[in-house]
Amino acid sequence: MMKIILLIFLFIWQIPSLFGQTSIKGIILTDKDQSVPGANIYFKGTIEGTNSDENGRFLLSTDLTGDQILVVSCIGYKTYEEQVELQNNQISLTVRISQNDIELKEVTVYAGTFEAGDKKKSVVLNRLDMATNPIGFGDALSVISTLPGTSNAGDEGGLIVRGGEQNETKTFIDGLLVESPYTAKMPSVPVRGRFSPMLFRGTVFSTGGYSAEYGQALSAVLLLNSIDMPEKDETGISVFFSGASFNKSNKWEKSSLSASLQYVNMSPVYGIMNSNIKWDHAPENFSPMIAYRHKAGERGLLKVLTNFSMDRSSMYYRNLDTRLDDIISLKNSDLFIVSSYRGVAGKDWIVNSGISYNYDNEKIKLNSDDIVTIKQSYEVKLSLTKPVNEEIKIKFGASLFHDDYSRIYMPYKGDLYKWKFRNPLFATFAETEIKLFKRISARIGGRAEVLSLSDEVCLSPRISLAYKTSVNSQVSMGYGEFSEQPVNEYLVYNSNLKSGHAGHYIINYQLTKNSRIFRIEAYYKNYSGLVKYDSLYAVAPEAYNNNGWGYARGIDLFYRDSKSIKNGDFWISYSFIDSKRNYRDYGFAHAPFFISKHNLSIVYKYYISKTDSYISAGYEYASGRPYINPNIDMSSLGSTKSYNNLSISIFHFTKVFGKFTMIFAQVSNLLGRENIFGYRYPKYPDESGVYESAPVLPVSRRFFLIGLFVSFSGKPEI
Amino acid sequence: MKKIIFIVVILLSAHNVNAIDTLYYSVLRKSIEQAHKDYKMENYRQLANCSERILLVYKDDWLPYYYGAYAYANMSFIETDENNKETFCDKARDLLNDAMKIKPDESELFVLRSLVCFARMAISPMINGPLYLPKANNALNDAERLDPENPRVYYMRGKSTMNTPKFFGGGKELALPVFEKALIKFREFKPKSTLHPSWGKEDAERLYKECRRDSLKAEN
Repeated sequence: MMKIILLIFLFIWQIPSLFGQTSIKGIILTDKDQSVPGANIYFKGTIEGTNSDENGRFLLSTDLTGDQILVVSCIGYKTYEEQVELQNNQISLTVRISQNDIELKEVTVYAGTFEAGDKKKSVVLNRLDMATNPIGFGDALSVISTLPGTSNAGDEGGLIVRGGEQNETKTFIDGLLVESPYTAKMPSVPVRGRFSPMLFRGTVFSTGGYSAEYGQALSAVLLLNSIDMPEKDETGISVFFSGASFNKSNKWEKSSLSASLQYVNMSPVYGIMNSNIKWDHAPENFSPMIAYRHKAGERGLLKVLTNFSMDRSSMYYRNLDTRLDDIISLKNSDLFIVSSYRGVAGKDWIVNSGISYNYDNEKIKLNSDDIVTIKQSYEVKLSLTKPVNEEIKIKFGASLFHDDYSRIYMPYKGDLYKWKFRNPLFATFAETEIKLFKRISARIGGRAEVLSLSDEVCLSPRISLAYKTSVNSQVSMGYGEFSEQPVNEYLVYNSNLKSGHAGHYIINYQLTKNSRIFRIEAYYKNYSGLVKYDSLYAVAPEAYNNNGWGYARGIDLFYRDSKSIKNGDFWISYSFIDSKRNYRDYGFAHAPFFISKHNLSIVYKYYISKTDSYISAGYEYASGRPYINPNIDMSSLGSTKSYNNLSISIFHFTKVFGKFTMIFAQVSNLLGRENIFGYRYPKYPDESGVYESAPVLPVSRRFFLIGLFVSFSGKPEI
Repeated sequence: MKKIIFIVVILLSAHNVNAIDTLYYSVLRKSIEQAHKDYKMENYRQLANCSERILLVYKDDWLPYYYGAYAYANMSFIETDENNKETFCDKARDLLNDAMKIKPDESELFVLRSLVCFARMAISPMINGPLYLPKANNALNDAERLDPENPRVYYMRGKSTMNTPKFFGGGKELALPVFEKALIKFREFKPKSTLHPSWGKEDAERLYKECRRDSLKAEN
C-alpha cells in the first residue's frame, strides 16, 4: 500500500516532467538569411525563454503543453509571433524576422538649419563650443560665424549669411524678435552681440528656408532659447585684462533667479597693443542682466529676462575729403525685456506666448553735431501647437510688433532736423508638420504680414521636405518666400518704401555617424524690391526707391569629427558664394562689398589630460573682398587680398585658495598677418585728380585676452 | 510512512513553488550572476532578455525593469557601434522610467539613472559630456537623499569624479575619498533580498586602489 501511494505521488509529481518536456530547436534569420544573435525567444505570457547564440541558434525546453505562442523579439527587428503546439515533442523551427522600417522619429528638416546646444542628436555645436570658441573675442556668439553659409567681415561683425547684410539676419529670444541684438556701430569697428551665450540652452541657426513662425529676415534667423532652470546655485567671478564680471544664480523648488554684471574697458588693451584706430575714449561697456524663471503647474514655465547694456566710445576718424580727423563719439544704452510663457492648455494644446519691450538710445556726436536716435518697440506673440495624430502636427499663431523710431539731428549751429515714424506690423502664421510616409516628412506653412506704414500685405509660403535615405542620412529640400521691411535708416527718410523680397531654394544632404557629421547644402536665392538710393541726395525721400535686385547662389560644406582623434575634436566649414546685387547706391550689379567668394574656417579643440588644459585653435580664411577704385574705373571691381586669421585659446583648470578656477588666454592673428577689409575713397579727388585711398583695417592687428574665472560654488559647469 | 509522505509533500511543494514564484527570482539571479562573472555582450544581452521576459509577466515589480535597464546600460558600454550604443541607452532609459513609475523613491533607480547618463557620455565625451554630467550628478544627489547608506551612490560618484577631467573639477585625487566612503558603505551594506542590487563592491575596491596608487605617485 505504502509503495503504491509513493508510486502514485511520484507519478503525479513526474507528470509535468514526463509528458511536458517539449524542446524547440531553431534558428533565427533575417529576411536576407543572416543569423540574428541575441534574440529573445519566449512563450507569450510566461517567463520561459532563451536567447539565440552567436549563430542565431537556440534550444528551448519547456514543461508547458498545448497551444502556445512563441515570440521572437530583438532590438531593431519587428517582433515575430508563431503559434506552436507543445505535446512532449521535438520541434524544429526556422524563424525569419525583418528589420524595422527606417523611420523618422520626428520631423526634422535639416535644410538650412543648424542646431546648437540642444539635446538632440543633430546638434552641431554645444554649449562648451560656445564657451571655448577661439574665434571672435568678447563675442562668444560669433561661434556661429564658424558655421558654413556665413561670411567673415571683420569690419562689420554680426552675422552675414549667404550674401545677405547683417540686418537681413534676425535674432529671436524665446520666439520674440530682438530689435537690437548687436552693439551700436562705429566706423570700422565690428559690432558684437549684446547677450551672453551662456544664457541660452539651445540655439537654432537657420541659414535659409526657415519656419513660417518667423519673418522680417531676407536671409536667416538665429533662434536663441534661454535656459529653463539652472542646474544648481552658482556664484562666480571672472576678472580679465579688460574688465570683470560677476554672476550669481539661486534655485528654489519652483523658481530661480540669476543675475550678472559685466564691465569692460578696452583702454588697457589698446594701451599695450597698437590699435589701428586713434581712440579718444576706448570702448567701455557696462551690462547688468537679470533672469527669473517660475514653474507654473506641471508643465508651465514663465521666464523673464532683462538685459541692459551701456556702451561708450569715441574715436578720431580720418575724413578723406577734409583731410582732417573727425571726432566721432558714441553713447548707447539699450534695455531689452523679454517675458515668455510656455505651457499646456486643455488636453494637448501647447501654448507659447511672449511679450517683449526694447528701448534703445543712441547718441552719436560727429565733431560738434549731435545725432540722437531713439527706438522703442514692443511685441506680443501667441502661438499654439497641437498634435492632431501621430503623423500630423499643426501650429499657428499671431504677433503684433510695434516700433517707434525717432531721429534728431542737432547741428552745432542752425535748426534741428527731426524725423520720426511709427511702424506697427501684424503677422499671422500657420504651419503643419506631416509624416507622409515612414521615411518622408514635410513642413508646409505660410505667413501673412500686414504693414500699415507702407500699406502692404506680404504673403510668404514656406515648404520643406525631408527624406530619410538611411538610418544615418537624410536629404532635405526647402523653398520659401521671405520679405523684410527696409531698415529704419531708410524708412526714416522715406517711410513709403515697400518691403524687399527673397526666394530661397535649398537642397541638403546630411550624414551623422559615430560622432561625425557631414553635410552639404546648395542654395539659390533671388531678391527683388531692395532699396536703391542716390547717395548725393540721401536725405531726400525721392532719392529712395524699391528698384534694387540681386541673386546669391552657393554651396556650403560642414564636417565635424569628435571621434577620430582621441581627446580631440574639430570642425571644418567651407562656403562658396556667387552673388550680385544692384541696390543701395551701387552703380551697376556686382558682388556686395561685404562678401568673399570663398570662406573657410577650421576649429580644433584638444584636451591635454596631463596638464589639465584645454586648447582650442581656429583658423579662418576668406578670399578677397570686392571694392571699387575710383582712380581706375567706377564700373569695375578690384579685390582686396585674402583674409587669414589663426587664433588660439588656452583654458587651464586649477584651484586657487581651494576654489575652482579657470585661467584663460586667447590670442588672435597669431601669425601677425596684415588683413585689409577694403578701401575707402574720398567723394572728390584732390588737386592732382587722384582719389587718395585709406585701407579699412581691423581694430588692431592682433588681439589678446587673459583672465580667470573663479567659481564659489564648486565645479564650474560649462 | 509518515516520513515518506512528508518527503513527497516537500518534493511536491518545492516543485510547485518553483514553478510559480521563486522561479523568477532564481532565474533572474542566475542571469545576473552570469553577467557579473564575465563582462561580455552576450551575458548582458541574456540578462536583458531574461529581465524583459519577466517584466512582461510581473508587470508591477520594479526589479525586472531595473535589471533590464541595468543590462542595456552595460551593453551600451560594451558595444562599439555608436548607433547601437544610442539604441541601448534609449532602451535603458525607457525601462528605467517604467521602473520609476512603480517605485518613484527608490535610491537604486537614481543610481541607475546616473549609469545611463555615463553611458551617454561615453558615446561622445566631447558632445555629451557637458550635457549629461550635471544630470548624472543630480541623479546621484537624489539617490543619496533617498538612501544615504546606499554604497553604489558613492561608488558611482567616485567613478564619475575619477573620469571627469581635472579641467572640469574631477581627477583621481578627488575621487579617492569618495571611493573610501563607498568601501565603508559596502562593508555595512546588506541587500534587502537576494535579488536586490548588490553590485559594485569589487570594482570600487579596484578603483580605490588605482586612485590611491596614482595619488601617491603624484605626491612623490
